[in-house]
Amino acid sequence: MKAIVVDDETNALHYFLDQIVTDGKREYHFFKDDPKAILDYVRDHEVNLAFLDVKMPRIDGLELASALLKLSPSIKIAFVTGINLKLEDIDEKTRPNVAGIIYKPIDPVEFEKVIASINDEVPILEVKTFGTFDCFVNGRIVRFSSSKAKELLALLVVYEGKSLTMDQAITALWPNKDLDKAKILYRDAVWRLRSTLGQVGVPCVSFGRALLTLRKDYVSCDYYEVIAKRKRPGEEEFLPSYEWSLPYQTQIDYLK
Amino acid sequence: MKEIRKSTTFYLLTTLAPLLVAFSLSLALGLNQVRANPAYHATIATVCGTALFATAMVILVEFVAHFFNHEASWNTFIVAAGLLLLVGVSPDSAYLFGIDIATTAPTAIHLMLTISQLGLVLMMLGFFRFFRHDYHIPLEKSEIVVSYLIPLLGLTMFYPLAMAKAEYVVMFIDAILIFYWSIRFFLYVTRAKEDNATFYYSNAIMFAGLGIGIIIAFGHCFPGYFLHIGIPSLLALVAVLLFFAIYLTFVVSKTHDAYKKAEYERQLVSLQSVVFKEQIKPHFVFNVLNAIKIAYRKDLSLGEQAIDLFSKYLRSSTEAASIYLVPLSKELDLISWYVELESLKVPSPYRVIYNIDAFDFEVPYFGLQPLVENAIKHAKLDQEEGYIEISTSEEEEGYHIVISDNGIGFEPSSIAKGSYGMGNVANRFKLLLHASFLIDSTPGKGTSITIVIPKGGHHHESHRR
Repeated sequence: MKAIVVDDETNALHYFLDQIVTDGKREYHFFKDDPKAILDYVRDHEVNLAFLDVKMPRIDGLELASALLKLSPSIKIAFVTGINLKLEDIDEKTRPNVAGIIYKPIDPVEFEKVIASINDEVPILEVKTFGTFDCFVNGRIVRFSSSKAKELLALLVVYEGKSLTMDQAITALWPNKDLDKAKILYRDAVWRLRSTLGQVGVPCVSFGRALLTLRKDYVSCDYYEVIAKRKRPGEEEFLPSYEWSLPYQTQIDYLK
Repeated sequence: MKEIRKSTTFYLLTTLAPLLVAFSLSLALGLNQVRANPAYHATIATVCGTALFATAMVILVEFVAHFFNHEASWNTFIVAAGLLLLVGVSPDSAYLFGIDIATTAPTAIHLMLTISQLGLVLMMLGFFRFFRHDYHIPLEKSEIVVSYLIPLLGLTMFYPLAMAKAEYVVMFIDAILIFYWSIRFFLYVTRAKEDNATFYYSNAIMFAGLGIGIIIAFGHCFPGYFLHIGIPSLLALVAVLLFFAIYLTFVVSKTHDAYKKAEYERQLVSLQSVVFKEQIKPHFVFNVLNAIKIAYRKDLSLGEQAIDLFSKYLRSSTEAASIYLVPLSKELDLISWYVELESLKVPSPYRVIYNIDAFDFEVPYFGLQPLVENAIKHAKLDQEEGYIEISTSEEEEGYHIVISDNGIGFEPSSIAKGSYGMGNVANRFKLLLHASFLIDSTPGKGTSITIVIPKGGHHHESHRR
């Protein structure tokens, strides 16, 4: 996939290269706000995506977008801007091609969401369960806002897509708490999990009324591979931090 | 409180005025003319009868025109039809056709009276439907059945009862029902939060119409005992009054609505601009920048996280100038960013608990965040067990939001309305969502703020400029 990045500030282009461009899968070409150079390049090469700053001295980002669309009607535009740009502010002709609006300072997560939407990629949560429990999106670790929210996700992972009821969750996560308190803490964990998954853009959990279900299509987990191949990868413990993982650990031991 | 008091006196007059006019007119004319005199009526009838019919036709045309304009509904059509029957087919209108009532068969007179009363009941039913549909006046199912059934029963019984000269039985029952309903609607209206001219005027029209109907019927049932008023002029005058009342209603309510809308917008803008100013306080900004500096010294990624957090929060602040309502999830995200920013400045020993059981509704943007900010700033949640709990749930009457903490609390009577910025938040909840806002606190135990958002849509669809 070929993309161009346009900004009048060198620092911004540098940041983009340094922080955002993390893999070799995509080709990026950087331009300052030189309309002639940009349009010449797009005319001669097939560019899929253009990251455009909006407020530039030599050419306005929105005008540039219209010009690019004339040359290549299928090009996707992503605006990278510090101003409060909204979809409604964008010209109707340009709007259908807008893949997203990313606000400066650029959040890599938002950036990846835009890329994923262009490629019609399904966002995947990579889950590591041996030796630790951690989740990654596009190689970046997911920070959970509470340990119980993270533990709830772990529980959902071992349920492998079966629905988890509130009672089951409370029994596993808050075995010693009185029921009313536990319900409040359950809702707190559910909310935090929902919020985190929403912010990383992976809808891997279906939140029903008092019923949670993992959507395996959005998850890539080492535990599932172990089950499928019936072979343990190493000596590492399965979900070491959680007490309720013991039965599952035992099952895995039998696989050897 | 002041608003309602003004409405009560003002609209009491408006509601009773037509009725008083009707009664006083009949009294005056009755004193002039104790019994019906065909000769007298023949002269007046020509003039007033024409006026009566012209008015009735204009009313009908007006209603039908509105009906085709889709602004009126079946209700106004039913009311207009009822009014026409009441006024047009009463025995009094016989004079219009030059029919000498003295020589007309009693059965024919009774038939006319039955049809005229049918018009009255139709008008009454139309009004009931109108009040129930458009104003959602809470009526019990049993009340509805009774109020529809009794007049209809009475109607079917009227003709045979009339033959037995006992029609006053039906009249009495109808009159009691009518006055019961009129008072019920009136009480609802004075207690209701809506200040709607159309409703009050409609109530007035209903009073007037019912007054006429009762006068006609009683006058017929008790000739001599009750003022036997078969005076078209009375009807014509009241009909004209009704017409102008209806016309005024539309005019007044339209300007009233337009005025209310403008006033609403003005209030909204002024409240929202306060939110915008509050959020970008330099004091807050410098504190956060300082915290970011410290975070960077500890750890580069920590510093980066802090910057991301701050930019998300700041962006929300700038959006707040033009967005009035947001989904609950967005407001909760905002709160979590704010809490994280605060804990960068001062590590937080307290917990925030999101006891979220319902989230499919909207709240004012920066409507809950200031409440959490207050709790953090004033509740002194230094201890390990300190918490702020945000609970939401869906109940019959609406969505409940409770923000509570186990901090030091305060004496409820001691806080002034506008202090701690809660006045602005409360006003926006009330203005945008008609929500109720209750603050409760016990010194030493904690504080809780309860907000109830009634279901049933917003007052105006203006959550985005």
